[in-house]
Amino acid sequence: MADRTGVSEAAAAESRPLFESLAELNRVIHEPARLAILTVLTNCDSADFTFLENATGLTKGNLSVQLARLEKAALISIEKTPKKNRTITTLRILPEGRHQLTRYWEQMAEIRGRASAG
Amino acid sequence: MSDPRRLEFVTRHFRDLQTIRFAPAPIAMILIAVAQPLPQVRRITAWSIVLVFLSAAIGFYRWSTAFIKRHYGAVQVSDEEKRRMERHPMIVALRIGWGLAALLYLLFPLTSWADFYLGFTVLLTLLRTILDSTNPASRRIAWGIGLVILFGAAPILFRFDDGAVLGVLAGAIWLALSTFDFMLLRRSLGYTGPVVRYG
Repeated sequence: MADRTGVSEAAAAESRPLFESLAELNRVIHEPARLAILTVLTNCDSADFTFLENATGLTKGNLSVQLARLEKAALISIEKTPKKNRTITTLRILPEGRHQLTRYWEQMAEIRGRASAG
Repeated sequence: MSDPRRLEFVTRHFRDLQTIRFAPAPIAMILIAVAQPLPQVRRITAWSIVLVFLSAAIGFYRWSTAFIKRHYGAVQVSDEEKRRMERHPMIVALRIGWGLAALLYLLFPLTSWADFYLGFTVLLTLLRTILDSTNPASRRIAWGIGLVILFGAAPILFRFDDGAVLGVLAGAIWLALSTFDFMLLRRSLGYTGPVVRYG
């Protein structure tokens, strides 16, 4: 799509320095633990805390911190349901989270392509 | 398998990898086939054996479901994801064959149509996993070996002892694939890679 100056977005991205493109990456997503959590949640409707703990290999404390961070950024929703003597924590990715993750991978592919092209 | 691929696989196929919960079914297939010809017992004894086995099977299913949920968690996948493989051209073609075999069996109740129907059902179940590109190569190959052994041996075994050995073979393949899948689930979830180090 061309902007008012007649320069396409792709062409504008091409002309930007590589480090500038890196700086534009979403910092909330650009962190291995949070990226792993979002990768799990984008492949399902919902997952519980235990599954995420097993799949990502994170400790309970670390996972709680990362989930709170993602919830604060409005990328996921956290639902706590009391059941018998414990609480079931169910996590879902929000449409904005899905959009941001897709955008992140697109940016990464673009950066990788430009870096390998020299 | 790279980390994103592993996470995608284990999340999408979390439930598929838990067929070990149905282990009493292939065990029953093997036991019935091994016990042929079935000994003459009183009706009450036969029903008691069936009821005890059914209770044990239901008990095992409930216990294993709760165990997996407690240790490995739970995942809900979308309806679209559940139906994804149903759109594959090969699965669509087999579904038509499966429906035709069922219709022919209803119109002309011959054993051969029932065999075709059963064959299509097994083929559909196995090919859904083999053709699914989101599965790792090891799982597709394992299920492919199961398919080749079963369909390669079936015509020979079926002729000479009326299906008893085939029952053992089918049960053993079912049990082996269920065990393989559960081991794969454990291995995929037990992985501790870069996420832990940098998390």
